Amino acid sequence: MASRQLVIRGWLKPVAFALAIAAAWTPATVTAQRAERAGAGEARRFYPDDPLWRDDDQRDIPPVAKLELSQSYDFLENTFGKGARSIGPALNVNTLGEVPDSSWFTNRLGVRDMTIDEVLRGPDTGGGPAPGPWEVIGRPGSGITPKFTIRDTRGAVFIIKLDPDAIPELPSSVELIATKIFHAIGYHVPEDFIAALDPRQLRVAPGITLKTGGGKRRPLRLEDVQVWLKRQPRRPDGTIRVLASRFVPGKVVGSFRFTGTRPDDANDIYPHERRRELRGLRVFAAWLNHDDARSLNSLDAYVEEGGRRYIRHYLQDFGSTLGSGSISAQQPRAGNEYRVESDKLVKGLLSLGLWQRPWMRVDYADLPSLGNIEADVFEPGAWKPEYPHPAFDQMDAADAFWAARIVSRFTDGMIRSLVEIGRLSDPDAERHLADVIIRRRDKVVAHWITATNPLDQFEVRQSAHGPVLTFRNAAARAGVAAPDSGYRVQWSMLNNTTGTESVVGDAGAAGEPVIPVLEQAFGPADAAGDRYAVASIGTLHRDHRHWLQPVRVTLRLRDDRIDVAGLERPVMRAASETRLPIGAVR
Amino acid sequence: MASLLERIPPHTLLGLALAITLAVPAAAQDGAAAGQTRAGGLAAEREAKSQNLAPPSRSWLERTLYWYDSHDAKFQWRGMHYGGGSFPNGAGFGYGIGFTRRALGSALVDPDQPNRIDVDLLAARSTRGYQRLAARLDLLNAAGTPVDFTVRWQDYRLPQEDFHGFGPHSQEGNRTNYRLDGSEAGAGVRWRPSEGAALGGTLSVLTPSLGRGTDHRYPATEDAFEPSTLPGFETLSTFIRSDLSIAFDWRDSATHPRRGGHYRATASAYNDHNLGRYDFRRLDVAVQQILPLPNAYRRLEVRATAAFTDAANGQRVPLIYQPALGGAHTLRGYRDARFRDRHSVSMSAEYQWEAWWALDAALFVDAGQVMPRLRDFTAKDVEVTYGVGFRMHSDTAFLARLDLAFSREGFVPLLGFQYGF
Repeated sequence: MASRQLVIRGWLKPVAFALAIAAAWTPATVTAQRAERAGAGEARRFYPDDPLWRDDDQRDIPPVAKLELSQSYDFLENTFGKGARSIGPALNVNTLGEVPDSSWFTNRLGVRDMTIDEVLRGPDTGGGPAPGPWEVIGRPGSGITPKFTIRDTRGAVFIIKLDPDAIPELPSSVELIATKIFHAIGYHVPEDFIAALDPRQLRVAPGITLKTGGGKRRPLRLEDVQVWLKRQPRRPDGTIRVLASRFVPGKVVGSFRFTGTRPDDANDIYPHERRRELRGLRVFAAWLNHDDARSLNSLDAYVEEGGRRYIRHYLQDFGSTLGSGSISAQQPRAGNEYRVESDKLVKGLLSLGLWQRPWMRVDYADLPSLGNIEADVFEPGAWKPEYPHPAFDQMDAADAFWAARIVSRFTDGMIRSLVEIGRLSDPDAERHLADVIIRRRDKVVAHWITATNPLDQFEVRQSAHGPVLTFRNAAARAGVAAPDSGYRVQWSMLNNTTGTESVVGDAGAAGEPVIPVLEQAFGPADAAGDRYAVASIGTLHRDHRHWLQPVRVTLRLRDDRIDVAGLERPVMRAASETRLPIGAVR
Repeated sequence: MASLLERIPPHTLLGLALAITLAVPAAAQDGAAAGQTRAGGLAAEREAKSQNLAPPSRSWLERTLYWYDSHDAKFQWRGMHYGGGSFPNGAGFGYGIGFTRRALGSALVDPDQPNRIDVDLLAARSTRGYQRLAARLDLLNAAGTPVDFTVRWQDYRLPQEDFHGFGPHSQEGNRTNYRLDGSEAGAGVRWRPSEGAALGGTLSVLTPSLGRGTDHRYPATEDAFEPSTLPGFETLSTFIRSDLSIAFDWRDSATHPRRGGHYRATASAYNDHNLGRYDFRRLDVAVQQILPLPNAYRRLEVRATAAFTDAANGQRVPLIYQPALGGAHTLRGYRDARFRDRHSVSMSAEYQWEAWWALDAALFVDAGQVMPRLRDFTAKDVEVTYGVGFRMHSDTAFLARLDLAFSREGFVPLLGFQYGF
């Protein structure tokens, strides 16, 4: 399928909008839309074990080769190449549109409450490097942050990352904060700590070599390490603030691409650009200005757990988030433009400098440990990483809603506590950073949670008049939209054996988020004895006309008990302002 | 099909048959599970993939770029790199090899390392026969102090240098060429009392010689001009040059400045070691100031240079050491050293804007004049050139520039790899 865009403008917009709504209400269209998720040639829409909350992609696999990616190639391929290899909605979601736990993602804050302590603890299984002598055992070649590896007295191995002297505390603080946030969201991340390195306690392990300027290797000496540390600001006790990142368990087998699958991993069956957690990562990356969210900053580890060996997928290296650009304050362009955008280049040239992008006019706070981060000009929908990202480009409104709802779960208190563990010595910087993250969170949530019909928290309850379907509006709950005016409801009968739907009765209206369940809408029993009915619920809202596109809620009647088995969110409205998937309207 | 089967060894066929026999029931079971549950379907899909595993593959381009990335290949190998020769414009394409080693004897480059030794070597030639051999040794942070010592030597062959005559009224049609060969050896010291400030002095021995130019498109200088009117053309001596310089630099980057200024002055005394006819002094002043408008994405850069020479009675200033205008840095719409005389003043103003994160564009205007005496400066003789420029850079460093300059004598494209001043 060619990767091209359908852009509808001007007078066609309302026509397209009407057609889109009409199409969305047509059961035949719905069936077609769901066919891919159910599997080619598979008529059945629901299985007895739906919704699946755990994807068992941790089956034992034989050892895999290390997949070492080129950052230059990644840039060229994604900037000038074909991008995503597969186009369409997320495939790895369960029938409720949620991401099951897997080797990629573990549901945390999105599905349950977390205490602030739990969020702050993040992935940590222990403390940072143990006090006492640290043995330098190497210097990783990848990445741009100055760093080296050490082994502590307990034998634990850490990468020690140094803050460049021009931006003290900046990369280490943002990396720690981002690591905790991405962990709370559900990603696998390394254990990071802000630690005190005592130069007097450093040793060099035997056999470690260093490449000289002449290209030869010679043994690494302690004096060499002292050169790395020379410009680092010392604390009163002579120690140096560093970020210590513990080696992840297992054997590192490279990075993962954001498109396609690993051909040597039997567990990896969903094209990565069709994984909701990788598409929705765009929302989180925008929130935290993680412009470096590319393959090179991912990591695959071949782990053994419970007698099974499989690949666990990590996000790592968050040094270029918020106001940090890893080795300098973040470039103001970062997050606002790709590195290569020919139209902007031409416009920039021809305008003689009269055309200034909004980000060029930002007056950043003059706080070195804060870097360049702001929330005024930030536009969540227009945010961009360093170069096009195949999974981000595929994000649709349903992916974005999933992510935005998780973002909305981070409270002000959590954010302020997270910033505190960054241990910025300047209280102004700390306060400012927390404020900016909170304001960016609010913008992200307001933008993406309203991009599609935001009804959620569907439940079937018993009332005096029989079962009712209740729900809430996530946007209103997050305080970014006024209460709904009402709802339009259409029931359909689903034959789960054939996958066909037929409309039952006329569309009705409801003033409250409580809808009586139409028992005659349940279709015939399938092989498991379950019966299904579908409620398509459009939301009437004065500010968000597109919410009239219905959320489709599938109810299952099993053993005289009704539960919510399926949830589909409309994705007709553009989730992205750039590189829209086919069918998107803007 | 039959021929295909015939080509497969019997033991392979037996193995295949056994595998199929064993696999079919397993697949059927998975199929049954797949038909019953979602998890079963996914398990079956993974089981199917496990039968068709392949190692990850990378294209040759990706493998090549990975090698480039992982070897930190920055267009140099063990200190050796391309060297263009730093020849003047019009010298043709320069090519050669350079060798640079920072912090000789150390594995790491520490800017503050006491007694750090840097070495630069160059051997280059151009398509028009220009040649340069150069060597430079720097001793930085001597004894841990902010004092640097430099020893340098170069031998050069510049066979097609232009000369149009002296003064502001020299004619384009009088273009001639001469050969300038020579060598220079010198030693210098620089003291950095504070960040951005430097005081220095050098002592050099210069042995220039002039000869007939090799560019046959234009007359030889000695054929078009009376040699006696060209100081130093007939005979040149060995010179002892002593310089004193002072500089203040508070730009945010030396190679890609966006704000700040750079002011410097150098006073030189040339002592004619053999003939006693060419003793003179020279003063060079250069000022660069960059003004954000109002942010660093739009800037006004102003540059001014002046060069003055002074010789005692009976002494002359050799042609090759007289100030000149034109070329990559002053009066860019004119060729290199288009105007030459005892004194020169020039000024440039550039409006620069960031068109793209890696490309700045500029509109510029240059003005300048050479004159035999300072009092000969007149506004009507000021030459003006103008043009547009493009500057490629990374986030931190300058990469290349292309200036397209226009003057009353036409259009000059200038490609360079150093910042314009």
